[in-house]
Amino acid sequence: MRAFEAMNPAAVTVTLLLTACITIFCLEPVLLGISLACAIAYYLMRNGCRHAAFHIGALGMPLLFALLNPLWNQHGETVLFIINQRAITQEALFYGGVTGLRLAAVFYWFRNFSDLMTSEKLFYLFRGFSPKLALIFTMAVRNLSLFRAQAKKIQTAQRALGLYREGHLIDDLRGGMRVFSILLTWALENGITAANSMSARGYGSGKRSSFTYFRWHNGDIVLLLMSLILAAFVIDAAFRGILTWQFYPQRIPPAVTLPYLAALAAYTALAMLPVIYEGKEVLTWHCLRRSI
Amino acid sequence: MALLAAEHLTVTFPECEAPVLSDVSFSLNAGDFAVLCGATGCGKTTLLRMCKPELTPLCTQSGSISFDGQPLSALDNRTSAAKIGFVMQHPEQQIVTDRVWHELAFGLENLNTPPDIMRRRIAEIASYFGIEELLDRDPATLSGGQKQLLNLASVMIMQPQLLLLDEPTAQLDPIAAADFLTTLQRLNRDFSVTILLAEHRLEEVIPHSTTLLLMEQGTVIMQDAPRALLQKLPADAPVLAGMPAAVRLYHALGMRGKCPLSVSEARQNLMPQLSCACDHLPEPAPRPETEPAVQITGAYFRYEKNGRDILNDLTFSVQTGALYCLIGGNGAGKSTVLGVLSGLNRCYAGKVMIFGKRIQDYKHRSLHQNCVTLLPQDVQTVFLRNTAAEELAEIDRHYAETLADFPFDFTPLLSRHPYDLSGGEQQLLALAKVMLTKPRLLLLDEPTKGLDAQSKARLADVLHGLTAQGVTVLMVTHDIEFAACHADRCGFLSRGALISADIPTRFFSENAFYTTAASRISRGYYRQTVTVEQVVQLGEQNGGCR
Repeated sequence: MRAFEAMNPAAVTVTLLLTACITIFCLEPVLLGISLACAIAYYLMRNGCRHAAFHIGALGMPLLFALLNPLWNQHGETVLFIINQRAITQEALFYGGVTGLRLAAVFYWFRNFSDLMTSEKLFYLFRGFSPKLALIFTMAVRNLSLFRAQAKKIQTAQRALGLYREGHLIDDLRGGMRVFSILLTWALENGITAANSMSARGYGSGKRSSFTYFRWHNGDIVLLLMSLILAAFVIDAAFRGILTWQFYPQRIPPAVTLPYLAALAAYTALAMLPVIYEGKEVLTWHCLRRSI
Repeated sequence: MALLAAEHLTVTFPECEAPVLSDVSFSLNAGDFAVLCGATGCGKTTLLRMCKPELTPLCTQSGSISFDGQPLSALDNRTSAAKIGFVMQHPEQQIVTDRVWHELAFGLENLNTPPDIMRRRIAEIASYFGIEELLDRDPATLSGGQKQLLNLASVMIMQPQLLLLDEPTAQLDPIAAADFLTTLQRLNRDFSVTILLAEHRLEEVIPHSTTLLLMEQGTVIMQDAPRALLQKLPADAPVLAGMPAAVRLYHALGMRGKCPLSVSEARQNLMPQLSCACDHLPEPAPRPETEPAVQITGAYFRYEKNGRDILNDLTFSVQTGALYCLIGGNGAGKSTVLGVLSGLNRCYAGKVMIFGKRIQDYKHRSLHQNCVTLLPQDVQTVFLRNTAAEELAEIDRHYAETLADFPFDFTPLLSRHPYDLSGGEQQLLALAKVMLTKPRLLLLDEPTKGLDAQSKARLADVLHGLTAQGVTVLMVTHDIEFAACHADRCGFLSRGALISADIPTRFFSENAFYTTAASRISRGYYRQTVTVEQVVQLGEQNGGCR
């Protein structure tokens, strides 16, 4: 078994997107709690305890929404207190908290997703749709950074020439315009060389194949099938109303039945997949290393 | 049988009267390592491009080129893409994708190669070129030398029979260039790849080449084995200026017999023929003492708080009106020194004085007003306008008057786009633009990069003209031959500190490894001869060759 990161990007994308989509569309506090916990667990496994600011921002979300929602939302029948002739209800408070929880969980999932998906993985996914588009995509990524680097070089060069007076806004603006216009010329020149280099290596000489280091292993198919089956089970339960909460005017949780528990268990399994794969890898590695 | 042959090839660009190539005939056998030399603008690039159907410019042509026995025009797209490889000058701009492995795969993808074969070829080529460690990297993070090796590898992966290279080392430092050329020799020796290389750095290539093609004004005037061809050259041929020091000595001293190509051949065959009765030239008169223009004392600089010191207790000074060359390896801190002096970098300790005033005391960009100016390595970054004239007028509307003393005439170039000028002309235009700000201290970063011998000589004339007018020039360079010929003083920078500084004759004769070819050739026979001219002068003083 490989770490979650090393699995086929398509399988990884499907797993993460299904987990995140269910989080978005299913307003079930218990399920959201599980989703958030799993997302944080995976994030911590990969990043350790860094990025405190991100954690504070994301985890402050439920609190913020719980406080804000009652200000607009007057529904609910349990009035806690009245400010400025507005009733602050317990239900509105709760509903705000739940939406905040959902947002926090989605934040973490997408952060995990963008950490995992390097440009070459995105390229691989794109390639499935259109190899040509995918090539344009990688060239665009590359040229943008070249463009930025050249702009910086030109600006430094011009500054060292002493062409602009200090703190002179008009000088700076005019300078910026000129730099931009010469950058376009530079990009065209650059583009000609790149086009030459491409055609010299046979670009456009007929049908192309497309190379990638990613392949489908049995493990990837297993991961894909597992996440599809688990997600299908949860979505089915959601459509049958097993996971539906009523928030207004009174808070009524769904009945705790066997299907309800089973759906939650299935979701837990789905959301835990990244953590399980990562954890297994760490464990295996630890054991293997002991024997070195 | 000839692998590549041209017969009476004449090429004319549309709307031009004179042909770029006229009546060119040559032939290369399989396994040849051919070097194409000639001054800038003599048609080398056009000739190379005519040999690669995908890059053939729009033109009318007569005569023929054949590849492997059949006319070039009869080759199908795939064959010509795979069998004829082409590497250009600029390392960065030839790269297409954003991963090294993908760059290697690019050519094979175009040929519709099955993935399993691609996988094997990438692994093979990466291990041959020693770039396995780099496979997952973004090419933008590689050094110039690594980028150019990647370009070569991504052409070689298609297993070409013929490799055309258009000044591939012009943008590289000497170590990376030597590395690249060694790789070419290996490819030629191990796989008998036929190579046609246009190049200015002839010192290292010529001893290993099998054929030399000499171009002049759009035609190949001579083709022969290097030794035979160089022996035949008249002693005043302009192309000699760019040849190895051994060859220049041979001709300047009017010798007979086998022409030496390398330093070791010159030491064995050429030097013993010279009398050593007087083994040194008189010391040149010392420069009159002048006020220091730059004085750096105990300077420390680092780019990041927790990084290493790039300048480490640097102490040195430059006299007003001198041409000072700062040399040293990669990462020695050469460009950083220029950054410090031009106010782009600020030292965290130490004292930096410019014309007797602390650099911090130049407020409100006054450092750059008629005082210090920096010409960066990539001179294209200096240009912002559409013509050379606008470029100059931007700084000074009356540029013609201001530049009246400038030792180069720009009139023929004024209406052209700066990007369309040759490397040497760009360098001079940028220099003129910079001079319009009337600096007293001119900082140059690698000004001789990519220039041929003639452009270098022209640049040297301009720089001497400027110092005669009282401008102080501080240049950092890898080009020790240029420094030896033209500097008033040289400084050797290593690990952020100045190790030694002296006038070039003493400086280079005391160095054993970091020194000029002429110094390595004459070592042990003569003392303090570091340029070809000095060896010739001393040799003639001693009565020429025996």
